[in-house]
This record gives sequence, C-alpha cells and structure tokens, in this order.
Amino acid sequence: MVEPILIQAVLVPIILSPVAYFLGKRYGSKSAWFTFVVLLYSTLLLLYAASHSLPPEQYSFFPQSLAGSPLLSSIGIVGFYLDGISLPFALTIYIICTAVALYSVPYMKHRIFEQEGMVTEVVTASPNSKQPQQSESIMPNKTGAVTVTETGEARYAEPTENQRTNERFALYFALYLLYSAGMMGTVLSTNLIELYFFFEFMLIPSYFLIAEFGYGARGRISLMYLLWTHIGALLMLLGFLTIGTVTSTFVFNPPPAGAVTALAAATGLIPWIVFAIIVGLFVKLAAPPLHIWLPYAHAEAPTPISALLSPAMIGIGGYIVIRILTLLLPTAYQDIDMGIAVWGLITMYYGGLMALAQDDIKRLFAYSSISQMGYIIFGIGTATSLGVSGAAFQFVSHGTAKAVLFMIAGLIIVRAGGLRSIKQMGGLSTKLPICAVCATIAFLGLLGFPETNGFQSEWLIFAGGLQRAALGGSSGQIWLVISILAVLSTALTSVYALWTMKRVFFGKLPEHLSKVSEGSAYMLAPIIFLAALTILLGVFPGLIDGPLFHTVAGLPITLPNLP
Amino acid sequence: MAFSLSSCSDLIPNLVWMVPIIGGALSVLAAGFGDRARNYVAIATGFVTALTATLLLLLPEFTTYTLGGGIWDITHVCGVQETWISTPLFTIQAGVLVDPLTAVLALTVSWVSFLILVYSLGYMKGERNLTRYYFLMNFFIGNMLLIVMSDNFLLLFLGWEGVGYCSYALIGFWHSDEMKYWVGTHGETTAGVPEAYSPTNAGMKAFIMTRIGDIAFLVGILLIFAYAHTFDFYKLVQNTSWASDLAASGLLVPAAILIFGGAVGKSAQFPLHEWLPDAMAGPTSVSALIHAATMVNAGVFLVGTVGPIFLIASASLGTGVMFPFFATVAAIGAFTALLAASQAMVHDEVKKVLAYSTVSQIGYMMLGLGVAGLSAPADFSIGFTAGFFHLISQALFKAGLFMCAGWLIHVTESKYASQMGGLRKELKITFIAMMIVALSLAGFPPLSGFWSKDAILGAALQAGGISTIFYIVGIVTALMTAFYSIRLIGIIFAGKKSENIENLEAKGHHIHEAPGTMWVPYVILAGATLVIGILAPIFLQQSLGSLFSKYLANLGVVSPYSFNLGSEALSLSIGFGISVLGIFIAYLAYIRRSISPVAVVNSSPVIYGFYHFFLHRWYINAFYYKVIVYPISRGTTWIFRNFEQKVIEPVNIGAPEFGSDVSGLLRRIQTGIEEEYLFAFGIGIALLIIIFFLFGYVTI
Repeated sequence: MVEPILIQAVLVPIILSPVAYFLGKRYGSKSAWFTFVVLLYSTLLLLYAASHSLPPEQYSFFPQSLAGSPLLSSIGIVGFYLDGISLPFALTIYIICTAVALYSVPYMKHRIFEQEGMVTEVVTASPNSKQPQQSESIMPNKTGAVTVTETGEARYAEPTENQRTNERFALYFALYLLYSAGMMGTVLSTNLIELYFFFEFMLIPSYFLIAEFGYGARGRISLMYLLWTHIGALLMLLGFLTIGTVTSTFVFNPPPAGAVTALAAATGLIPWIVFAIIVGLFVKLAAPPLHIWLPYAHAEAPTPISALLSPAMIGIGGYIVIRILTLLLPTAYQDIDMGIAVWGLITMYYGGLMALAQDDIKRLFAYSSISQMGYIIFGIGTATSLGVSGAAFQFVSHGTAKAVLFMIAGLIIVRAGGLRSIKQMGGLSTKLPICAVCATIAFLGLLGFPETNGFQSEWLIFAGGLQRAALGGSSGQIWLVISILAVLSTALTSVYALWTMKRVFFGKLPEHLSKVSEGSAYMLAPIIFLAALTILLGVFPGLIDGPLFHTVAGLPITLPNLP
Repeated sequence: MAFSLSSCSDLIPNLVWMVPIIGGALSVLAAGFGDRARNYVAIATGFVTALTATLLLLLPEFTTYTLGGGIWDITHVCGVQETWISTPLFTIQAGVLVDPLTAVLALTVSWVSFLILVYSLGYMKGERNLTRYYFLMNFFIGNMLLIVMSDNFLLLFLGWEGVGYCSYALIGFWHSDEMKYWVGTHGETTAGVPEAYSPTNAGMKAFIMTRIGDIAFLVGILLIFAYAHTFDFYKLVQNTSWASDLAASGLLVPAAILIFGGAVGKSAQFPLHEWLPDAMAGPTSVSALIHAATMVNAGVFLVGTVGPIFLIASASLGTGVMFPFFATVAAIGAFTALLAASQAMVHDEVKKVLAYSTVSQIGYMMLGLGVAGLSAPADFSIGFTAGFFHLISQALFKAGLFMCAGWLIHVTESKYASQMGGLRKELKITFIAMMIVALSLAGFPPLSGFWSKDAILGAALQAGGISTIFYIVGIVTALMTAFYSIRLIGIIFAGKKSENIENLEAKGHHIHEAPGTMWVPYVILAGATLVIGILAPIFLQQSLGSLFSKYLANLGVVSPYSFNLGSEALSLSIGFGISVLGIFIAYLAYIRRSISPVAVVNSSPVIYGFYHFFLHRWYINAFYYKVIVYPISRGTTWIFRNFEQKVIEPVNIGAPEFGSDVSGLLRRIQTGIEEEYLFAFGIGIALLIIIFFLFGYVTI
C-alpha cells in the first residue's frame, strides 16, 4: 500500500480552496494565513516524500467500464511521482507559492483598495521635476482620502477592509490555491492525460487572477494569455494523443515496457509528435517568436502573480520537454537537439536585448525571464546529462532569483504609489537597504555568479554544450561556437542586471521618493527568505545536484555520460 | 597522492580563506554594538588572517612535507571529507592546496591587506555605511585568498567572481554618485565620449569588462572539464591524456588562451584594461586593495598556476606546442606595459597615474611569466620567479603609493597633482615614504623594484629569440616608468604651492601630516620595499627562486634556480642606467624645473600629437564606447520599436482581425433574401452537374 502523500500535496489545496473563499469573505486579508498553512503543509509533504524517495503513487478510476481498451482504461490510471527531475521543479513551485502567499497580503490590500477606489494612487512630483506618469491602473472614480502635501508626496489614508474587499480577498486566495495546485499536479503527473488536465488547470485560475486583479487592459491581456497558452496546450495534446495511440497507453512515467521501441518504429509520425510538443511547450517557455503574450501578462498581472507566473509556471514547459522527449523519444530527440539549442541561444539573446530597451520594471523582468528560459532550452538542447541537469537546476535558480526581483518590484509599487517606470527611480538603496541587498543577490543569481545558485546551474548547462563539442565529429565545431555564444550571453545578462540595479537603487534619490520605506515584514520576510535560498543553493549545490543527477544519469540519453 | 593528517593542522589552510569571510560577517553583527566594535572586529579579522597565513608557513606539513616535494592537497578537514558537489557522474572537492606559490601569495596578500585595513581606520573615518565597507573589504580579501588556496578550477572560479563582485561594490561604494566622487574631469571628452565616470558607472564598467574575461576563462575550464572530467590541478598534471585529446581537436592552445582571457580581464591587460583607470572612483583604500593585494594579482596567479600545468600536460606532444600561448602572454604583457606607461606620463589625476602604473607593472609580470615558457624548460623558473617577485614588490610599493596619495588627496581636497605642489615641508613623513616607494617603482637600487623588474628583463634577455623584442619594449617602458614616478613626486612635492593650496590656507585650512593610523602603514610599506631591496641580492631572490623551483618540481617542471650578481651584471647595469636616465629627465623637468614640459609638448606637432594620443588613452576607451556600448544601447531600442512592436506584436491584433475579416466575408452571402438563395442553389446544382460530367463520374 502506497502512502497517499503526493496526492495530498496536489488535492488538499484544491479541496480547501472553497474553504479559503469562505474564510476570506469573513476575515479578509487575514485569511492569507490559511492559504499559507495549506501550502506549507503541502510543501512539507513534498519534503517528506523527497527525503523518503517514495515510489510512484498510482490511483485507478473507472477501470472496469473501459476494461476492453487498454488505451482508454489507461486514462483512469492517475499517478503522482516525485523523482530527481520533478523534485527541483516541485519544491521550487511550492516554496515560492508558500512564500508569495504571505507577500500577497500587503500587496493585494494595496491593489484591492485601489481597485475599489478606496485609495487614490497618486504620485505627485514637485513642480520642477518631470511629472511622473501615472500607471494606467487608476480607477476612474476615486473617492479615497489622499492628501498631497506641498513637497509633493502622497499620504495614504489606510482604509479599513469591508464586506466588498473581503469578497475580493476571498476570490484571490481561492484562485491562488487552485493555481498553485495546478502547477504542482502538472509536475507530479505520470499520465499524459493527467498532465494535460493539470496543465490546463493551472491556466484557468491564473487567467482569472489577471483578469480580476491585473493592471492596464487586463481583460484583453488575460484573454491573450489564455488563448496563446491554450492553443499551445492543444498542440501538445495532439502530440500526447498520438503518443498514446502508438504506445496503447497514456502512462509515461515510469516509461511502460516497449513504449520507446513502439514509438521509434512509428517513423512517419515522429516528426509530427515532436513538432506538436515542442511548439506547444515553447509557447509556455516563451521562446521567440512565441513569446509575445509573456511581457504583457507578466507586466500587467498583479505582482504576486507575476512572481508565480515567471519563476514557477513558464519553466514547467521545460520540465515536460525533458520528461516526454528524452524519456519517450530519445532518438528522435537527438536529431533535433542542435536546433533546440540554437533556438535557446536566440531566446537568451533576444530576451536580454529586449530587457535592455525597457523602462517598465516589470516588463524588464518579464523579458529577462524570456532570456533565462533560453538557458533552460539550451540545456535541454545539449542532450547530455550535464546540460539537462543544468536546465532543471536553472528552473530553481531562475525561480528563486526572479521571485525576489518581482517581489521587490511589487514592494516599490506599493510603497511608491504604483511607480513602475525605472526612469523615475534612483537612489532607492538609501530608503530600501534590505531590498537593495536582496536585489543584488537576485541579480547576481541571474547573471550566473558563483556563490549563488545561478552559477551552479549555468555551468552545468555550458559544460553540457562543451561536452558535445568535445565529442567531435562534424557538429563538434558548431557546438563549440554555440556554447561559447551561450556563455557570452551571461555578459548581456550582467549588463541589464547591473544597469537596472544602478538605475533603481543608485544615484540621486528623486524628491518624490523621499518618503518611501520598506514597510511590513509580510513583504520583506519572503524576499529575504528566497534571497537566502539563492545563496544557500549556490554554496551547497549538492542539495539539488545529488537527487537530480541520480535520476538524470539514468535517462536514456545515449550520449556518453561522464565517468 | 592526497595527503591526509589525523591531526587538525589541515584546518589552518582552510582558515586562511575562511577567517576573512567569517570575520566580515562578524563585523556586520558587531555593528550592533557600535561603530568602534565593528571597526575593531574588521581590523582584528585582517590581523588574524595574516597570522594564519604566517602560521601556514611554519607548519611541519609545509616546511618538511611540501618543501620536500610532497603535494599537500587537503580534501579532509579534521577527518571530515570535504566534498562540495557529489553526483553519480562526478565529484568536486572543496579542497585547498598548500604549495610554495600559494604560501608566498597568501602571505603577501594577507599582510598587505591588513595594513590597508588599518589605514582605512583613519582614511574612512566619518564616512557613512562603513558596515558595508568593512564587510566587503574582508569578503574581498577572503575571496582573493580562496583563489590562492583552492585546489581546483571551479572553487577558484568561486573566489574569482567573488573578487569581481567586491570590486564592483567597493568601486561604487559612494553610490549616490555625488559629483565630488567622480573620476575624470567633467566636460572632457574623447571623440565625443565623456571621460568622467560616476562611482556606480565605474563599478559597473569594472564588473562587465572583467566579466568578459571571466567568460573566456569559464569556457576554457569547461573545455578542459569536457575532456578531463576533472577540475583538480594535480589530477590534471598526473593524468595528461586530456591534453592530447584537446590537441587532437586543435583546442589545446585556444583553451589555454581562453583561460588567460580571465587573467587579462582581472589583471587589466590589453584589451580589457580600460576598467582599471576608472575604478579610481572608489575610496583610495579600495584602490590600494585592488591594485596591491587582491584583484589584479589574481590574474598573475592564474597564469602562474595554469602555465606550468599546460607545459607539463603538453610535454608528451613535443616541445613548443605551448609556444603560441606563452608568446601571447608575453606579448600582451609587454604591449600593456608600454601602453599604460605612456598614459601614466601625461595624466594629471594622481590616482589615475597610479592606476596606469599598475596596469603597466602587471604587464611586466605577465611578460615575466610568458618569457618563462618561451625560454628553455630548464630556465622556466627564472621568468617564473621574476614574475612573482615583481608581484610581491609591486604589492608593497603600490599599496604605499596609493596610501600616500589618499592622504594627499584628502589634505589638498583635490585629485589633481597640479593642484598640489610644494608640499615637502608640511608633509615630511609622507614625502619621504612616497619618495621611497616611487623610487622603487622607478627601479632605483637598492629598492625591491629595482631587483624584481630587472629579474624580469634579465629573464627576457636570457631567453633570447622573440623575447629580445619583449626585452626592448621592457627597457623603453622602464625609462617611461622612471620618468613618470619622479614626475609625480616632483609635481606634488617640489616647486611652489599651487593656487588651490594657497586658497585652502587662506581659508584657514592647515596642511598637516596624516594621523598615525594612516602614516604608519605606508611607512611600514616603504620600509619593507627598502629591506627587501637590500636583502634581495644577498639571499632573498635566491631563496624565493628555490622555493618556486620546488613548486615547479612538484608539478613536474625541472628547473633549478640560481641567482648571482655576476651573471646578471649586464642587465642590471642597463636597468640601472635606464632608471637613472628617466629619473634625471623628470628631475630636470619637474624638480629643478629647468625644462618646461609645456614648452616641450608644444615644440613640435609630433610630440603634441603623441601627448594627446596618450592623454586620450590611445582612443581605445572611446573606441569601445563608439563601437560596442552605444550601438548596443541604441540597437536594442531600435529592435524593440521596429521589430518587437511592429513585426511580432501585431500578430495579436492580426490574428483576431483576420478571423473577423473572414467572418465578415462569409456574412455577406447570408443576405436572408430567398430569391438569392435559390439563385445560388441553382448555380450550385448546375456547377455540380458540369463537374460530374467533366470528370466522368456520370456517363450518359
């Protein structure tokens, strides 16, 4: 009898999300603690599962009625499995979700009051400085009490929560739990249909979160996000259905006997399967030119959700590529690996260059995420144990670092009255010293600085590429060149990271920011926690590397592994 | 060969790099008990570090085992295995290595750093944010010592980047970018590129430029890893099949040169030297640390570590395989030495002159290490010893120069030498100390700079062949060096007081000597350069040489070292003559002032042209901005506006519009008029019948 551990980690948040809704209606923002506890419980379950290396959990639904068809009956076999590859993904997702749950309290207070017109969001600059642009978020009918002093700073009269705002909080936290569990389900799935189910399951709540609480043209943007990812998911589903028909089962993990050979025999279908899965998932990974939804969605989502979308959600695309392609289609995969690596390279550079051109801090981080996804894609493209492990590790590194950065952007939004334009920032390190330190750590993580986890993942990715170069052959030279180009892109990352750091935190403090302060521990504690994690995993990479390599070394990647 | 001890004496080598990092963290905690507590913890950390490094040399494991030819690679500490990353595919130890090279460097780095920390006590007095300052200083030192002590490339790279970050953060220490902290003169431009940099800008420049070198370095070590599956220095020497595999792919020399790229960045060698002059935006104590103890020496150390490894690894492939690598090192060193010395001759900002001088002196060290590989294998230790002897000697006199300059800038409230002048009476101690260290830089006997510079030039002369060219470049540079060191002293201390000083005194500012915490460190350094200079010919250079030749022997390079004045007489006397000539010219122009430098510059368009060429940094900096920085920053905006927003984003609008267009077209035929429907129906039937007949589906 298998202990029902992982199924709890996925289903408990889903089952309890109505409870979160009712608690939210009653207690407003304080109900965040319930969400926090639920997610913490699920995270602890994961840690328990990880430390005991549990076998896959399998549950059967409606097996009898479909007993005649092995393919159809396999739909009912729902499993959850945490191995070395899903571990880094799963833990990162839940740890970030748990931390951001608390962070949401002050942020969503700010956002909901703003949406309900209970506080006006005004940044009034002194007459001699340029009038800062107000963000589009301001609702037309503002009634809140705001006094603007002569020196130009806005004073916020802290409104009290009422029935109306409580309902909004309730909606937020209920959707938040569903969204978190959706991501978790995707990562733990062992069945293609189950995987598709959860893949779409995470899309719906996040769509509503953006549509309800987002900024700007949030209706249009959330719809754009929904359509792009949904079309991607449908393509992926086509690939899955084909795999299922060829192998007569939808269970993919652990790979059923004969599945790989059966798939390898279906030579006519393989290109289509690979195409559908790659294109479908690269929408999620936002590889140019399929990235266009991402800057909008990430920039205009409420910031705690940006801190889940970018660090946790989009990288899941990489996870599925590793799982499906390297496990089930190893030979077909090796025919296109260089193409994937080059696509990854383009993604790195394109995202980085576009990040340089941004003024909106959240948009900048969004493009930076695209660039970071390029590393994951490149790592997967190397088709070596080192590179694939590096890609999985990169999900962790990018997750912790980018979550910190988005949370800091959100803190600035809350404390500086909706400010997002980098041009109007500067000198904030005197006002936000802890944020400045954490932002430094996070940026160093992005640019692959040793002593942060970013380096530990990136060197593996690059080593994978150079290992391909070392194998020689006609493609050896090309691998050498693209690997060097990949390493070189970290220079581009350094440029936008340090330049952003300089523009936001250094230099002269503009007058309109003279009253900014760091404020509540709700926001700071998650930021500090994840920044500390960034360093911890950089100094002790074995925490991730150990289980990861244990699994990856067993992947059917036919290239020689290291001795 | 790993040597493990049952006792805990293998803890001490680890402590060498851990103490500063832990101490730096402690100083942050101590800040809770007040500023004094914090300062004392920080300084005490420096002292304990220096003591630990000294203790390292006294341990029996070092004196008998290591010097007896053993390799003390520490992978256990107090019985605990030090595995850093353990996977089924590979294992990376977090080991430290004690050999003569690391011991000598650890000693130099830790003691010079300690003096700089003491100096900071006076120099940074009254500044805000000193908790950050002291933490970063100690973290800086710790990372440098990690570079020195690590036993594999990956751990070394950890310290390597740590040093890079600390330099970034400390150069940009005054991050509010007030005008008084800028480096360079406002309004001055070179080909339209501004010459003034704010501290944060300078820090960023330093980080990004060195990072480009680091990327080359990383590619180099990962290439080796791809073939050798290890990062360990001694494993690379013991099993050298990786080298032949690399050579078979034609990548052996490129890999070595890529690794050297890291050294080029960190040690500010051409073409990545432009960050260092602007790094002067940081506090002077930081400049002293970067130039004397930590950052720039890292590159030299790297070449000193990698050079022998490649030499041994390629030994089976025939001699001369690594010739292109060593020639590159020597050529870049020689060229950089000349390039930077020429700029040091014309600049007015005191710290900038010193910065160029560092670039130039590091060039000498690279020259020495490169020549070592170009000479006969048995002579390897000559150039090698010369390079590291000069590193020690440069660390002493350059730290001294910067500390003196720090006080001068503080007391005269100006960064320009021309706004000082006539200070020798008021600042006697500073004057004497700075004179000694400047003469050491000028290569004047019996100071240490004379012996160490000559050792490099002598090695180049002895190596012959292509090295003769490097020797000539070195001699020309030596002349320039002697000239600019005394020029600086002359402008600052000789002649009349400048207007600036007279104004200050008129306002009641008294030009006074530095406090003890500041002058004692630089007097000690001046004393050290003198003592080492006196001891060098007697026994020091010889014992240093035998120490390094033992290090090389451990790696497998057999090259005994011998020093005697007789055989060096030729190069020594040439060196002495050149130094005296340079000093004499500078004396005439800036101390006796019988030649007017302005008149000389204006006397001929050629000299004037050169003067401006040097002043504008050979236009290299401007070139980088015009060709790389500006195009990228404009290009990204252009791509964003014209490609991302005009080509890709319209898909979002285009796709739904296409859909609505199609539906609009289809809607047109749904007119709701029955006659039209019947008409269309009739035509359709007719068409179908025609088609059936045409294709033969219906036959009559």
